[in-house]
Amino acid sequence: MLNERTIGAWSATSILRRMVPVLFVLSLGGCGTVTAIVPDAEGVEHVSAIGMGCNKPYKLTQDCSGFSGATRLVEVSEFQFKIAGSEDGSIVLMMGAKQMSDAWSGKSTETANVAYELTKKHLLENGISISHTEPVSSGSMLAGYIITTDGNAHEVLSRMTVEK
Amino acid sequence: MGKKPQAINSVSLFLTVAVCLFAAGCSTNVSRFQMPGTDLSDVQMLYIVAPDDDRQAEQLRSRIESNLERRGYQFASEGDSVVYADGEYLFDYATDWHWDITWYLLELRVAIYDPADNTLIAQAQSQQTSLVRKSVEDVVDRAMASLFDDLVTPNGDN
Repeated sequence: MLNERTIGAWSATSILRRMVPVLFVLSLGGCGTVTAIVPDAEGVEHVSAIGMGCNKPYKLTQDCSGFSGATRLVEVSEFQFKIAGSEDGSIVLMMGAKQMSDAWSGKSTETANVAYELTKKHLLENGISISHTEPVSSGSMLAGYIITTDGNAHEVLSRMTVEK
Repeated sequence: MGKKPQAINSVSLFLTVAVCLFAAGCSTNVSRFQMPGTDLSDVQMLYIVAPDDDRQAEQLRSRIESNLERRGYQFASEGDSVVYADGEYLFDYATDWHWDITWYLLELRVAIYDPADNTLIAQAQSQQTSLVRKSVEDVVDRAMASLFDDLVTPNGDN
């Protein structure tokens, strides 16, 4: 409940500051769900970036944070992104390396798509195929993809780790 | 007396925010990515893979086809019975329509894939915000120009 004390504590300036990101996203996005995704994920139900965690919808025991998602920074063909993986490494969550700045600049879809395509090619070169691709999105923002593979994709990608 | 500077600060902050929002609401962005070690010089024929269900599907498809034609590429619809020869690739596109009082094309992704292993050769994404609302034709042309690398975008923006 907002009472006079609460309103007093939230000065006009602080309210404006809090409103800026919300208004910005609204002005950029309008209403809708992102669909400019890779063909491998077309028609697949999106995983909610807000609803997902390290145990849901998949148990991701490697390089996963309940707060920030994927934590291992990898680089494939000079393109950096973050990954997390299941225990056997066959399921990998991939997300942009700079989620916030990508969201602000409207490049999150492009980042996720490029990361996916590079990963797919890199895994194929290492004898691993992607059998299922799920987009991870939040409203109009594509946060990344969850891929299910026929091998230890996480281990293959981990070899490309970038030391922070 | 003491309250005046704070009031001015609030007004200037509001104006800054308003300008930022206006500028952000009026932007277009075209980006391009090409898979390392690939080139588009041997592309002759493109098999178009259209989205299953799309707004203004005919308008989009027709603009893409006329753009490809203008560039001298042959094209056809993708089919199960197609046997791909050298110089033949898949052309995929996907749209992102958003509602903001009326529907508008927020983002278009066009991409060329190698049919041998379904890996990406090159992709371009053309994005615009609600206040810009360029026509479907314009968004297609910008994305295609970027895909085929004939759009000069020093900062990725124009």
